[in-house]
Amino acid sequence: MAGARAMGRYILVVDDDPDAREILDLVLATLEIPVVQARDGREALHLIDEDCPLLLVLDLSMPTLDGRAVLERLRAKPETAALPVLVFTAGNTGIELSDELRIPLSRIMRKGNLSMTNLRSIAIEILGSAVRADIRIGL
Amino acid sequence: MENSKLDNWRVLVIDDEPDSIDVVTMVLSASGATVFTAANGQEGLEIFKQHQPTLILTDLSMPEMDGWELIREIRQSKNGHTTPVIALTAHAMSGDKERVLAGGFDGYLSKPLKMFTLLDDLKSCLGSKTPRLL
Amino acid sequence: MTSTTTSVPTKAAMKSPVWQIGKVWEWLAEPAKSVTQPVQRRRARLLASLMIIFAPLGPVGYFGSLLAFPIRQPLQDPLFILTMGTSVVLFAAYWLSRTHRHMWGAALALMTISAATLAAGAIVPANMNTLLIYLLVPIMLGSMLLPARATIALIASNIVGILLMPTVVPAIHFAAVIIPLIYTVILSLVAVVSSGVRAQDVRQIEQQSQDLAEAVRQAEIANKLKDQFLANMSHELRTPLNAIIGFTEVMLMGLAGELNPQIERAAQRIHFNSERLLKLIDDVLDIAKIEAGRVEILRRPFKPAELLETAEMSLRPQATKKELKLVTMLDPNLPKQLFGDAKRLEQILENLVTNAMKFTEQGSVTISLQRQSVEEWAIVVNDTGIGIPPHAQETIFEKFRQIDGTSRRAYGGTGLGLAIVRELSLLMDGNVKVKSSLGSGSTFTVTLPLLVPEGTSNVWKTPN
Repeated sequence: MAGARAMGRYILVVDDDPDAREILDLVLATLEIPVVQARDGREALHLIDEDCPLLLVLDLSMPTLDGRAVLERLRAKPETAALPVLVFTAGNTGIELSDELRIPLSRIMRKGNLSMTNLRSIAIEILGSAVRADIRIGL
Repeated sequence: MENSKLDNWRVLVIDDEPDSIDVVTMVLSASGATVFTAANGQEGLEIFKQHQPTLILTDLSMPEMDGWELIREIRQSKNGHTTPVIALTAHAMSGDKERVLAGGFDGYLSKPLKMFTLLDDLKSCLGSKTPRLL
Repeated sequence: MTSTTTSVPTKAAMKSPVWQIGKVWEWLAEPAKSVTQPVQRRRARLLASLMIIFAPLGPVGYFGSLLAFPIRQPLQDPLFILTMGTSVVLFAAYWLSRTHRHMWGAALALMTISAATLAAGAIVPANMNTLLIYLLVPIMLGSMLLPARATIALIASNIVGILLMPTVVPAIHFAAVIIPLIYTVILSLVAVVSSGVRAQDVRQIEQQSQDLAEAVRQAEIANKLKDQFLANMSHELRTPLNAIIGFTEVMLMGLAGELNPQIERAAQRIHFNSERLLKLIDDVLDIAKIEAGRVEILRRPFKPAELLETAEMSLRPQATKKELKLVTMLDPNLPKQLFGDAKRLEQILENLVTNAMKFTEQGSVTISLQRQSVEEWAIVVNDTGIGIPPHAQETIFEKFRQIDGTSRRAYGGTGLGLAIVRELSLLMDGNVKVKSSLGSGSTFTVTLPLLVPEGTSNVWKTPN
């Protein structure tokens, strides 16, 4: 994985729930872009520092180094400020977040309300030409 | 789970929730039993009279005729007092077990049912009343 | 109903000399930070204020009288020494009033004033009645500045002082002292008793406000715990369900191995029931949150047209599946912008429409946002369904209530949708009503107060 990461061509999935990570991995791996998993915000920031991914999928309801803190750190640095992020939350306060955070997020979703097929489509939309043409079209 | 273990069982499953019936039917059929199904007590009673199953599994709260009325009808009908009837129910408050046994049922399994252990649960529920091989 | 701002002095008021003197005085008389009790702070402040007045008073008065009645050697005048000495002590008392030993300052000041008054009476023999009037000043002040026992001690020492006067000063007869003495005793008692009564009232009020503050603290802790519990519950319940739904979708997408029709069907049933469970969890948590009083209805500007559009988009798939027509209507008399909680209004809309579609097999469901009156607007959902019998029209808004047990399985749903609609309507100062008859559909009307932005500010009002 190190080679692919060095070029920044990977998707980073951050969630403390191993089941959630595995599901996202299975679904996003079909885009034939390497998927890397991180268990918490600290690990995620470490990986991003080494190499900025194409897309970050982030759970906001993690216990350690809150997802929110990760976002704030990312937006503070110019090299990561434009990183597209898909934010998941299991809590009730999904939709009010974007006002609070005042960060241009790509998408906020509520866990359980978004089907994996839709997630895959949204990821394709965000990644654009980074996804091979035949996969994008759905062959 | 050994197959064909229940070759001579004839089971009637009554529940107004189609998914519940499907799951129980699949497990019992896979073990060789013959399974009849009904969506409410009325239907169940008719099938009982027609096909004389050797075991009845029934939900308690159903439209048309619920489990309580059904057990009364079955016990009053021909061959009805020897057929084992087990109640399957999602209500699991204390005192329910006593009520069920007092109502004439032979046993009680609470939902959600564990399919992994369904057969064992049925057998321990029935004890000595395990349907005899014909 | 306009929002109010707290009153702040205008710039003109702040330049006025009265206001500025007031500010300076406040600063000069401020008690020490370590003095926390309100009663003590009041006393310290009063002592400081009095000392600011009294300390310079002596010298000023003395030198003023010198102008009128000059003396050859003022520095050797015993009255001068007395006045200056008292003044110094009073300045010391002022300094003490700004520390936590303000009580000592008060005792010192008052004893000194009493002693100085008596001494002045001995130096310049005057009418005893006048003297005793002057003595009442420290006694009255004592009742305000000192605790009861200290005040009584002050009064007692003054009385002793009065009684000693005839022995020290030959010019004063004992007989002249008696009646003034009696007056002094009576007025002193009055002062002590009244201050005691006041002190008791103050103690009672302070106890009450302490109890109140404690109650508020406890309530805030309880609310925080409730919020934490609800948030935890939501998270804990949704997490495993998310895994169930997610893995099922992974299976259905073929990502967990090859599917055959039986596996596919089983996975679909799991998926359907999991989504049902999820909706139920959401509804139960919502009702729990409402019942715990932890739901806040926001008041933000929103466009009714957008609300209608968003709701329609999310409800159209359901309608299409059941081959029902979904119609939306927007009253032109409705303002372009309203104040309210768009998210909760959307929830009301969706619950009403889902409920309508539940009981409608053919025909249409109509959503309309209408102006009801000058002060009210309404969300009206009408369907061509089976209708609701009169006896059930009140109970359908109860939690988990369905028309009769039979409909539960056939019509689906959680049974909480209408209960949530009612609770939310009430929280928004509105209400919900239903009009229906068996066989000819139902009409649900949620009436809400009409709130519009005032000007371009973030303040709302009812339109006139």
